Amino acid sequence: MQSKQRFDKVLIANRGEIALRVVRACREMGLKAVVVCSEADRNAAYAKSADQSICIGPSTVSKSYLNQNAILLAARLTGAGAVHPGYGFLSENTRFSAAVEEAGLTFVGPDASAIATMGDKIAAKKAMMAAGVPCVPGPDTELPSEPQAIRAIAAEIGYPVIVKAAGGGGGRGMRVVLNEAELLEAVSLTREEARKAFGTPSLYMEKFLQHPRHIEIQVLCDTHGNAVWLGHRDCSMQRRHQKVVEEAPAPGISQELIGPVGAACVEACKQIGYRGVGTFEFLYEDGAFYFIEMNTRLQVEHPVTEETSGVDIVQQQLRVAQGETLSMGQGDVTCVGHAIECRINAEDPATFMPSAGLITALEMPEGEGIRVDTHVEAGYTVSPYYDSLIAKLIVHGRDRADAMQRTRSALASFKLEGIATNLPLLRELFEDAAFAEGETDIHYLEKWLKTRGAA
Amino acid sequence: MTDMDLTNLAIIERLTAALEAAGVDGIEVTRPDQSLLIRLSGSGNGPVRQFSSRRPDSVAAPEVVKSPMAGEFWPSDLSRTGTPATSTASDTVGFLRVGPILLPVAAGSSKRLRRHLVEPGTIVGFGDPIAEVEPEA
Repeated sequence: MQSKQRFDKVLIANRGEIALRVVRACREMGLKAVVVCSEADRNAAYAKSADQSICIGPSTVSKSYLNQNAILLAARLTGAGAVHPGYGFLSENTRFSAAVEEAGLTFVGPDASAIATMGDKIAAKKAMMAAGVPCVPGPDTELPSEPQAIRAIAAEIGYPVIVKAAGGGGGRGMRVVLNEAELLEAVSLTREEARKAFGTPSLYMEKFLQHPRHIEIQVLCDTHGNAVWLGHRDCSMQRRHQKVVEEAPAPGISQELIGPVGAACVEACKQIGYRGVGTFEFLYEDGAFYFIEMNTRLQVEHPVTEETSGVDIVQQQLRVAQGETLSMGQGDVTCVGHAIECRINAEDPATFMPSAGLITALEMPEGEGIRVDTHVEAGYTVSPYYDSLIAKLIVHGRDRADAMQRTRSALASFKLEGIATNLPLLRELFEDAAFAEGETDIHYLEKWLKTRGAA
Repeated sequence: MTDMDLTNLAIIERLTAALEAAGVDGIEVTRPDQSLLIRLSGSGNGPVRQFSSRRPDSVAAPEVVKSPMAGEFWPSDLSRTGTPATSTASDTVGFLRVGPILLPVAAGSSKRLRRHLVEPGTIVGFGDPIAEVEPEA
């Protein structure tokens, strides 16, 4: 009932396609949406699509989208009762989540303690092991400083090992060690990098998997102790730890194999009192899953799960934030068909250099099973200040082969002129036989790019 | 009646011709926005024309005061009088209100308020124009 709602206006502390995605969810739920923007985005059509938009600072992200005070003031000014952080920017910032709640507003995401637990990779691993989630071999404790103790841990794990920053994530703050001769120098360098980049020199060590795939499990939890997992994704097609193509479900992984892992993720959420949506990321090699980290936010690739599960994940986020009980149990979750997402980036397809400028023409693919999430249009100027993601092409088919074929057609009809994009690269990648076969590992794309460059 | 553009060369030419025909040595026209000076000096080789024309806004161009942050704009006492006033360094064109906070928006030293660009109580964002000021003459 409307009167029981905690909020009726949501401030979206983000930009671009995800801001527009949240606006759409708010509109469909009868909620008002406020978009904050920087000077660079103030005239963008997407910002004006909200019920209200307000410029909070200059184009530099530290003075706008990362400016917590400006965002909180904007929420107060516009009468918003909730703040949706989207992904990136402040979405996994413990202080921001706490500050929103302290201001008497609802943070559309987990509370600060859950973000903090999962942000500390050692604490996260400890929590996952306690819940029975499979982890990469290696202790769930901080790496000691004594050289002899470090050597002993590495020897017990077995080379190659990887040294990681406890405060890192997303591929940052890690170093692979192939043998004992490299060990102490690698630890010393990583410790110093971690101290500078993440504010803590704390490290941990794990077995380095050489040919893993990147598999994710999407969870959804309410504040009443209910949680479900919405299937799995494969995000192995990466370049420099940045995902390029994602798909759901992960090909070649049976329900019997991943079912217990999904159940363990749900159990972990219940144990730590997690609320909202989240993603457990795993490395998968030789039929085994190894937890690497949990993202305590909406993911860029959430649409592939939406397309296969039929669940609007952003709406569910908002319902959980309103204090509603999940309307589904695990038995109600069924995934149908196969979905693929291509990230369309404003970048040179050969050099990957960002390409800012005016989009002079835009024709997007349409049809059954085709979805494009974007904030750009013809006449839109891509700003050099922000991430190069300008659109997401999401295609749903009855199976993987059908989804691949539909994606090829959609990519062929996707016309975007005025700036360089990675569309030519994606078209070429979807003609690759090994990718079409499926189950390629996280190093495949970089190897493929090298081969392509040499050709 | 619409004021003529005193920087328009065709108009200056017509005025000069009219001055010559009337036997007048020169004319000076001054308006708040423009001024024009034409001097004619007769000699055996015919009149030598000197003229200067300027838009005062090139030296007194209005400046836009932009909002330094998001807030609800309320004009200050200075501007509520409705009569342009010359500001001092501490003068404001108004305040931005966010909850209990009132942030003064400076007019700038030795500036004259021309007009406000938003209504009292309007929610403005960072960089939104809120007032026009011009340098003191």
